[in-house]
Amino acid sequence: MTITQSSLSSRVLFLSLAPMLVLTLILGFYFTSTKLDDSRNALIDKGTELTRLLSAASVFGIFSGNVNELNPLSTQLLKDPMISDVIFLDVDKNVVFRTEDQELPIDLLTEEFTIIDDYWYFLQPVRVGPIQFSDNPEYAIADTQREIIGWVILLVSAKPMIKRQNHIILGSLQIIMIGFVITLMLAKFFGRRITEPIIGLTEVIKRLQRGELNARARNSATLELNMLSSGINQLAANVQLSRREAELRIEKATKALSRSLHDIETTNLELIKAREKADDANHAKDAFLARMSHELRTPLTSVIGFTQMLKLNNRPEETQNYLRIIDQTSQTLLTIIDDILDFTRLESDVMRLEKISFSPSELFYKALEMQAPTAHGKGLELIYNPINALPPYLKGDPTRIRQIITNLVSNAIKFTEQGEVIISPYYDHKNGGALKISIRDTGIGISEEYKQSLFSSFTQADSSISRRFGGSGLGLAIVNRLVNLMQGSICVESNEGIGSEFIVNLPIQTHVYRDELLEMLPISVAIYDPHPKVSSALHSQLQNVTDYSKEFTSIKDLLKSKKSFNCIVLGFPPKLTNDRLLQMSLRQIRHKYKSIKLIFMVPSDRKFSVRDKNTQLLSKPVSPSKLYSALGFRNIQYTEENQIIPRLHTPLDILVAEDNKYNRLLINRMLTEAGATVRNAETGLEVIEKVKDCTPDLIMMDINMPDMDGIQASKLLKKTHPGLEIIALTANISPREREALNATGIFKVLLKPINIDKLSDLLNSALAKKDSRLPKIEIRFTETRQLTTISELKNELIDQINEIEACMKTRSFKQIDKNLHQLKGFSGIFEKPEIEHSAASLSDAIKSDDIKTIWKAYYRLKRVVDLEEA
Amino acid sequence: MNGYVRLKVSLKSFFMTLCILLVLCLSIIKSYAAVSVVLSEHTQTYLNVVSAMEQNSDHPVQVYAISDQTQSLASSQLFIAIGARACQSVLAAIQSHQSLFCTFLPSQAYELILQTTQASLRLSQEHLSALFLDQPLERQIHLARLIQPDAEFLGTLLGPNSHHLKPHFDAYSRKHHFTPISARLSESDNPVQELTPIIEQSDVFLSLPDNALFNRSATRWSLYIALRNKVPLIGFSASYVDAGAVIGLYSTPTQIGRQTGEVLDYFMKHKHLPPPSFPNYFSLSVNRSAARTLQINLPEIDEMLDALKTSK
Repeated sequence: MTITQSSLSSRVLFLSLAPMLVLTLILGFYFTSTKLDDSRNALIDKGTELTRLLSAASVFGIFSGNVNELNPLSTQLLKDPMISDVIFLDVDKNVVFRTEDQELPIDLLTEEFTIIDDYWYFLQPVRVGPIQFSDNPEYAIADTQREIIGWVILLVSAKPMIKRQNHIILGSLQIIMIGFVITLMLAKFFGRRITEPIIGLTEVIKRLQRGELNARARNSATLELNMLSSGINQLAANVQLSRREAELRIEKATKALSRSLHDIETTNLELIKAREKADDANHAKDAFLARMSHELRTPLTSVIGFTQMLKLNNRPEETQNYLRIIDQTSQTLLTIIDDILDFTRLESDVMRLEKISFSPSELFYKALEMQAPTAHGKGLELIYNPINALPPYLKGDPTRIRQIITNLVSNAIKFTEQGEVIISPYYDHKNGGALKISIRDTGIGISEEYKQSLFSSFTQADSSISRRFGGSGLGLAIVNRLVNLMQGSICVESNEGIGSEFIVNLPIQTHVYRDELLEMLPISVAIYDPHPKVSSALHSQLQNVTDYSKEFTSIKDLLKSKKSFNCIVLGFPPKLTNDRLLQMSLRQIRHKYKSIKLIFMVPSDRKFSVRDKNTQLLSKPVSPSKLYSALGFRNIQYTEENQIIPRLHTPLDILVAEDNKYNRLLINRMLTEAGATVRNAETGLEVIEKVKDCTPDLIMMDINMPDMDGIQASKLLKKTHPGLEIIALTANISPREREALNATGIFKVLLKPINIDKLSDLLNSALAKKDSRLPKIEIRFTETRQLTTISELKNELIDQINEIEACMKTRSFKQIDKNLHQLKGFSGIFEKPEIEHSAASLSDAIKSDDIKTIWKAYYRLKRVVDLEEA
Repeated sequence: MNGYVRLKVSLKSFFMTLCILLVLCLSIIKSYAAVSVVLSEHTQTYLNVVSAMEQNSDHPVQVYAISDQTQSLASSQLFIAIGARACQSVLAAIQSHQSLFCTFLPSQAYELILQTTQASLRLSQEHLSALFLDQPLERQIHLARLIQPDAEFLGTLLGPNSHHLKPHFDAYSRKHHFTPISARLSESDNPVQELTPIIEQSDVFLSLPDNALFNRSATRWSLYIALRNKVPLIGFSASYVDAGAVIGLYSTPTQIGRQTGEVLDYFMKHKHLPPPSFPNYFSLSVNRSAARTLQINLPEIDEMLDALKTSK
């Protein structure tokens, strides 16, 4: 039995016993005392009554003094064992008659009864009174007239009463004990009847708690416990049923879940397959795009390259014309291909914008320079007219911004037959900064209905436009997508037959940098251009940096001017075809100004020359830096071949990781020319070793290297040197490779062939990171082959082809890969698409394992290299 | 005009008639107020007397208690005092032109009142009379004979207020062929001692109502000793019979009231009262248990009543 159970039984027992016991005791005591009192009272009553009766009976005997009348009374009473004596007294309390002779304390007997020792003395007067004639009040007599004629005393012994009382007490105690025992037994019995069912119910509950839901409580005789057990049974049954139902439901649900999981797994597998397929498709697409980019551009590049080479040689005019057409159409085709590839990249959402600092004014001039020959070829003036002073540097993707400008300007030039194309940039410093560009032309204009689908892909105004002007119809679509990618906006205002204006708004922040302050030149400059806007733009550029500048509306006016000038800037119309006007203008001016500096701004689509040592020819549109340099600003060096080679004010320690010798050589020369301290490594492992020796400011890491590639090496380096600046070098990058690079923490990629401007930006970024106070440098190389000699190139080609030949002879085809990699590398840098293509063909042939194909590809490569050597 | 006069005359006549009637009523009321009944106690016994009286008389009476009697003193012609106390009270206050009839009281009480109240001297016999409660002596002795035809000795106890009856007792006893035995109980005598020999000698014991004896419990001793000696005792009330007397001769309040009503009528008719008398109407009560104990065969009560009425 547990403590709880015993407590319940004990409690029930106690609760039953205690009150009953108390009650028994109380009642026993009460009844005992009552009985004792009753016994005493009975004695008193009996004594009193007997004495009264005796008094009444003894009236005659006492009144008459006749003892014989009294004796029988006494005798009768003495028969009662309680009565010890009967005493008759007269009115003076003298004994008239008594049977015993013990002492009688008459004086003490004053009450109706007195207890003296163990005797009770009952005293009553003997009165005599007349008969009450109640039927007639005339015969009635007052009670007070009853006179006392004597006394009677009844002597009663207390011993029998005491004995009786003892009997009563004993009897009561016995009854109490019996009552107690009966109470105990009853309490136990009834307690058990209550606790046993409760214990039973408790057991049932425990079993139910253990999970034995088939446990049931027995019925009880007690109504409430019976209801409780019925309730518990019902509850257990319900729980059992619910559990069974729940189990069934769970089973069902589990089965359904298993089926669902199986379905999901199947679907997942299918999705994985589909995803793999999609990834494969994406890879294929990326590879396709890259290959297409390469495959399409490479032949075209060859065509363009060879065409230009042919043009250099003296050919008959007709041939020159044909070559010009070939060149133009090739360029056009190249443009179309680039558009399609760019559009595809944009549609695939794989294009990522860069955020590097760039000079907006230089960006505009570069874009215009590229379009200038086409514009000037059509006789159109290409005018750069900034509305306000642009910030010296902005932070964005210059490549894509240039693409936007190029597309819009080329579009404007395409659809303009005469007049001009004006580019008017404006920088709004409010709300974080925005670059607004307006490109206005005097072309055919755009109809209202076409404006709606202006930025849709593959759409031109109508088929006649396509026939007249050609083009893929992707230019504006690409512009629109690029603008949207930059979270900008573009709109167009146009009037058919009058012209169009495209306004682009790009949110671009300024890049805080130390402004390059141009010194003021203490010169006075005269400006003339037949196009007043060109003249005005030139004037705007020069008026703040020269002592005095003035624009003239004609050479005549200029020569008439009394003001003496140090320099004359003369612009010539785009339709200028030969040097005759130049010569004429030169003569005119030299007539007055014998030796002042002359700067002639000529169209860029053809070559001009003048025989004057103080005359400099600049192609339109002329960038401010070119102009400043021509005018004589010291901190800008400008060579004859439009080369500016700035130098780093503080040397950067740059580690170049490139396994290709020529690429390494080229980059080395670039960086050395820029004033950087360059270290080299050919593998990823070597990079890690060299970084351990000394942490460089910058690493230029080729992705594809033997032993450990660039991505792996970068991963390891980023762990130990998380702040180390690493720029990836690659000829081609797919989105996946870019993702892999981003994952390692490399976000800057320099594509081969190396873009000097980009390299410049990256170096400036590294400089700024090293010390933000350092001035920015500008590396401008337009001709990479200037960094290496032809003989070096030839020697490298010979070396590589000899090694390949040796491997071919020994059938060590696998070893050829290294050489092919080298060949592909520098042929890419030096823009030798034919060598690059042939090397790629040999590489593919080796993979095919077909001897004939291999030899065929080898011979082709050898032919191309021999041609180059020649 | 004539109609108005006629109306006036009619109204006058009507009012006069009304006044006459009123006076008559008042007279009647006054005449009705001429008899005043005064009760010794306003209890049922006395009211029974009044009730029986009213039933036996055509004349209305005004009933008063002793405390209220003064209201009727000025106008009452006749006073009927019921009980000794009422008699004494009215007699003390009554005027000489007024009459008083005392009823429902013992003859001894009446005699005592007459002796003690000076007013009784003012009133003549025609204006002062009584009807006694107790029975005439001869009737009681006659009864003794009726119950014990063979009895020789007739015993009685005379007290201070009844001792004057001894010659009458002796005479009537002899008339009914009894030998009279009597004792006189004074204040200092022990009633038991006096009674015991009388009763032991008597064949019949006659208990006479004497106030003085009442105080001495003579009635009780008489009864006790008579029972012990198996002597039949003739009581004077029903209570006595209940106490143990073999037979009791008495008049009930109703019987007294009835006779009082007759007296009233007599008075109203004759304008004077008849002389004091004992009751004409009486009753007998028997204790059969006592009779059995005494082994007495008593005649039927009606027989005894007839016999007693006949012998008036």
